[in-house]
Amino acid sequence: MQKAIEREEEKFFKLVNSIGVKYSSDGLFRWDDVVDVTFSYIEGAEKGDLMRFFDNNFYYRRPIIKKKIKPNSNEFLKYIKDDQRLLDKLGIKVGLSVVILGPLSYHNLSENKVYDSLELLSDYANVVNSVVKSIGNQVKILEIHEPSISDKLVKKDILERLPSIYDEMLKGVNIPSLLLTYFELNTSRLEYLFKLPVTYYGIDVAENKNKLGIIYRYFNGKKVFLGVINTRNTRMDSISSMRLILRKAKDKGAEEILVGNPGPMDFIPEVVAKRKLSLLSKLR
Amino acid sequence: MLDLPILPTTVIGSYPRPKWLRESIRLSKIGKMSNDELIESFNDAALAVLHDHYLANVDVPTDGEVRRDEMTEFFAEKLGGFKFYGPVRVWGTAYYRKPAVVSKVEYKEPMLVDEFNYAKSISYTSNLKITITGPYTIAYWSYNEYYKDMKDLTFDLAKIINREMRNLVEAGAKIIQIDEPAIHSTKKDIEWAVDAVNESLKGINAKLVLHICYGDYRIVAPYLNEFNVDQINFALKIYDYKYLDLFKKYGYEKELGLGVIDVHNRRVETAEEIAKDIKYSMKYFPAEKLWINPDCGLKLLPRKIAFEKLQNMVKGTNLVREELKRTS
Ligand SMILES: [Zn+2]
Repeated sequence: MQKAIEREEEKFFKLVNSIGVKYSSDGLFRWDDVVDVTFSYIEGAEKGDLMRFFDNNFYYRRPIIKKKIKPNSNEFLKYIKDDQRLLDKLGIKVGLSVVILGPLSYHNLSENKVYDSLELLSDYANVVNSVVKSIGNQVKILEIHEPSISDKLVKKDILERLPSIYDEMLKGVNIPSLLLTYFELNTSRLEYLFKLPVTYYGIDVAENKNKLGIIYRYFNGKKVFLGVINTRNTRMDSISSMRLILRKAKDKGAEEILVGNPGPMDFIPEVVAKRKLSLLSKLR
Repeated sequence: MLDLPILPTTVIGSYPRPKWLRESIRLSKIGKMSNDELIESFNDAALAVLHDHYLANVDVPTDGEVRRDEMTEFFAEKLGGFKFYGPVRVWGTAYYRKPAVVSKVEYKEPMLVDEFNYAKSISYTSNLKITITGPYTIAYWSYNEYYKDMKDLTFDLAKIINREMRNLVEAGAKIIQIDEPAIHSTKKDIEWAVDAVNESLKGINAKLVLHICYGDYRIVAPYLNEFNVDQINFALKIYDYKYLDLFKKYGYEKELGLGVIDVHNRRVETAEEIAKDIKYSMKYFPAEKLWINPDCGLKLLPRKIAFEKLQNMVKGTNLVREELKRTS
């Protein structure tokens, strides 16, 4: 098992290196999905039923929270050290990112039997804060997956408290943070999204092409991450339309622009995922 | 008319493949078994599954879909316009070969007629059910590289599914179930998705059943009466029947196939538990409108457990039937 994961990671790191990326995760080969990752840094949640991951034919195990959650850095820290050791062995200078699930997504994707909502969000933020701080600067960027930002039934008081929850989560964290929102964006959430205290705001532009006009309005003075490839369709994305989007983002005042895949690549076959990632190298 | 007892029992479709069939498929893939021999294995497996259904006393059996690896893949492989790039993950270590539509989808040859004819020739009852994956689910579980949008693709698939259903009726199919587990995936498609399913059912002279399972039934509940089918069956056990109230609220009036077996759990429900669940459901819908079935296909369970679950499903149904007889 261990060997197989290392082999996959090695292939993955070589691929991202050949594309020339600045930051990359380890490909998450140790886990089934991004929700599964949380079990490696949280104590107190159990694996529950298979639940559908948004509108995909893809299922994750729902965390069941039966007691207060606590940080558990040991396993997580070991993985990161293993990743860095592998990168060093391969002589690859990619900035390793650490992937965590955003507090709102953790709240929405799990079954909570002990907390009230705001308490869970706050405890989760503190757990992540402690875990990320214990990792220190072994990683170069914190990648926060927050697809639930577009969920329909999020209460207003939660949305309004989210910036302070993020403050708690990122307090004393000395690496940049990248917030990833993916799949279809609910544009009424943009004002909340762009208030969150993160370094880079990630937008799945490939799946929200018809909403770009509204999305661009928030770019002025912000650092943005543009997910320019569609990770849910095998059709190859057009380089010229990617370039157009980049140019537009710049015109609209984005202070810095990173590009990449908007979210997990589990939804397309591996050969297609590789081909799509390779497109990114043609963008510069 | 079909000659069936009250609370007819049925299966959703798939059943665990006998272990030796999995071995035959493996041998055939590495060229160590001829195609004729593989077909013989499939036929023998269908015979074994129908025998299990017979022993369990299921009123409306299937052949267990033993020939089909996966419900989208199977059809995509037999149609023009699809391409396979490789496996994608469904969960954990479970993968399927999600097809991509790369040109106009086209009907090439009958897909289910041989399967149906063989099952019919060995069935212990003329009340045999044949299942077919619906157009929305095939479209939703494929990548669309060719069509302007998924709607266009779905309606093209609806014509194809309709053509195959006509072939099945011609071959003598009396009960056809259209599987649409993806139909309630997103609210924004649901209205035209219902139209697409109806398009695929146009002019089909058979008892028509729709299978819907897992997810948020609130999306589809307001539209249930609009499907041109005689019956809709649902996974309900896993949700502890909480959706019955909703169906009732929307005035659902067709036959309801009641999922009483959790297919994701190896615990075998007892006959008494099943009887209790059926009686609970009768508070919402009259016995005359109810059929009894598992939540979904039994394929992923060990065969022994699948069989025991079916046996108890029928035993539990019989308990309620006896009670109904006594009180009538
Ligand atoms: Zn099903």
